[in-house]
Amino acid sequence: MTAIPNTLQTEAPAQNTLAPTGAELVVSALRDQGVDMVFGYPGGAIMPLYDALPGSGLKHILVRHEQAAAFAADAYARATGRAGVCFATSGPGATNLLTGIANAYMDSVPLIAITGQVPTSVLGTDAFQEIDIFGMALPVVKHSFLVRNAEDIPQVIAEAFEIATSGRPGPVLIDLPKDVAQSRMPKPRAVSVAKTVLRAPDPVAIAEAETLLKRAKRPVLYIGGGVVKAGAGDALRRFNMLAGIPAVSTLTGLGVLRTDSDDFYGMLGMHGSKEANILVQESDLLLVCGARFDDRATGKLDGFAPGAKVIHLDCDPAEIGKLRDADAGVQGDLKASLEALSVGILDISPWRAKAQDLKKRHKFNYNAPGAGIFAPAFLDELSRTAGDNFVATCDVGQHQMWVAQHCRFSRPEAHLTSGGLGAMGYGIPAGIGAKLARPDDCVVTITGDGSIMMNIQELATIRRYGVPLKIVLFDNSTLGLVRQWQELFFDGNYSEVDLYDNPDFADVARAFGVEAFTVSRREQTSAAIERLLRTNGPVLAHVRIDPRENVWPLVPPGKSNAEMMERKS
Amino acid sequence: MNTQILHIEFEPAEGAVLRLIGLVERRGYDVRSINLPISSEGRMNLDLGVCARDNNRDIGVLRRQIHRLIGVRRVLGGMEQTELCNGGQNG
Repeated sequence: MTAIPNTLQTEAPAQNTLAPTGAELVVSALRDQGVDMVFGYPGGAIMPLYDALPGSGLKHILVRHEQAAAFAADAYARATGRAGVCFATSGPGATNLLTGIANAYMDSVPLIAITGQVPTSVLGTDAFQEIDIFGMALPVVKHSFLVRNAEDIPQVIAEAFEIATSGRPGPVLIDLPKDVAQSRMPKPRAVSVAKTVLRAPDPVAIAEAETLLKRAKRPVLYIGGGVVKAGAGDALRRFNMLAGIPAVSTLTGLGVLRTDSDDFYGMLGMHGSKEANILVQESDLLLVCGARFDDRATGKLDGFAPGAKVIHLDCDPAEIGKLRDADAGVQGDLKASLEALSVGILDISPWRAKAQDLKKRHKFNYNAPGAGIFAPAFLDELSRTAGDNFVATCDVGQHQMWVAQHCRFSRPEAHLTSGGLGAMGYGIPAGIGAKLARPDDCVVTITGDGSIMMNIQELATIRRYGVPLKIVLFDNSTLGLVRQWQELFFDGNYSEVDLYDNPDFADVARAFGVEAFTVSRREQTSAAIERLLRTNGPVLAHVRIDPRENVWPLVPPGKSNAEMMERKS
Repeated sequence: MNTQILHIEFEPAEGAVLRLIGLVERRGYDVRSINLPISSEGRMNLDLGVCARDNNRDIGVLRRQIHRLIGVRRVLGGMEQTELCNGGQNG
């Protein structure tokens, strides 16, 4: 990997004995939190912070659009389990961050977003590049601060990290007016932050859950992304090694159990596996761990798992009973809850046998007709060839669902995807963040010809830092998932989905200095994967696919998961 | 639908009231009345008359969503106050 230029390489400013500025306090507070890398883009109101970067020990990754800074920091957080940090200036810089902040909010990712702001003296006067980002971000942050005094900076930063990373994680915005960042503060306020301690699970609720589990004949373990955020993956695997409950997961829970393990039956929901949805629909008990009954997972809520009782384990009490009543709600530390649950080996052999039979009967057929590259088969082979250090960062669309369905994941941090928000443009910046966080892993961005154009400028960031990211671009010259819905649910009225005028993506990548090649025939699949994986530097595989290919199976919008379509009727 | 009164005790901070009211609106409730009495040291109290926009809203879930906001100390209430439904009050 090419050495990553960083702000340390610029000459450090001359030592001085003046009191630190607010900006210098921000930098030292970030260092105190263990931050070593930030993603950002400078501009007027945040210049004091950028002035404090040289010599600070913080590596700054200069992206080419603020949205990419937030996405990269989000992926850095998902890949490391620590908070990601991004910077942007006021006004348009801050508003460009918003989609990334919302993405982190929807998927409960610890993110610290620091925005420059106009000086306090002109706040509220419609000053140049003044936007009330504090107000705009309120619906999509776990918390936010507008810092009015430099003496508060160390305390605010420490609180922000504690809030972002504790309990149910989430993004925290710190809006920093320019004059606050520039003012000198000889004696900042002492830092005092109370650590959040998650409550232990209620023994009564645990006992209720155990009783329900022991009585169940057709239980299903329903794994959500909360298991990952809680660091409860090992506890869940230990629990189910004994209990042996057939397991399914949401999009963000993929990888908690190895996707090729015997007791795992795939993703449930709209593009879930047939066997996962059948098992859930026929179950008499759902053991729901760190999931929120998202509509993409449940389909029509009224018809979801109609005969099932529910045990709901979550650290967030507001999720228990929000969309589906729980017969036993266990609020608190998810890891402790799973460790407290003790049911031994459940007597559910007939149910397990049925589950295994369903898995065999609904095994996906990778022998698609035609001579073109079949994306599901490509992804299956790619993930198997890459092995256990494979990490996929996805964009949004058909390819995202194919990744969820067909890639083999051995750990949850191997699958980084924009789940709740479904933000096109996530893939490449997330790939940058993930590769910088886990340089020894084989990080592959899977994108589409619609999504890549949302943040294609980040090829420049890849080139600048020599990030050896591998990119698979499935190009069907259309907005595939929208086209699929128009075909199936809008009488084939294809409105504004034809991307016939796409550029030659391999040429574009090469223009950015990234190696690229194009393949379109099925027999090129293995060679393309081999070239992709053995290339040392950044590389883009431009993979042309049939625009008529759809994602199957599919639960039509508004329908129950019992009404899955396997093909167009 | 009936208006219900929520009593929220929270720490004063920039944007705290906006954060509370915005959450209630976003979670599917009309705000029908607001009473923000003079606060005691280090604490503020907000009484909100709220009315669900549809039948699928559980006031208990809303209480928990408010309670998880940073700086919120207590959320009480949710008792129906039918007389406030048509007009509400401003405090």
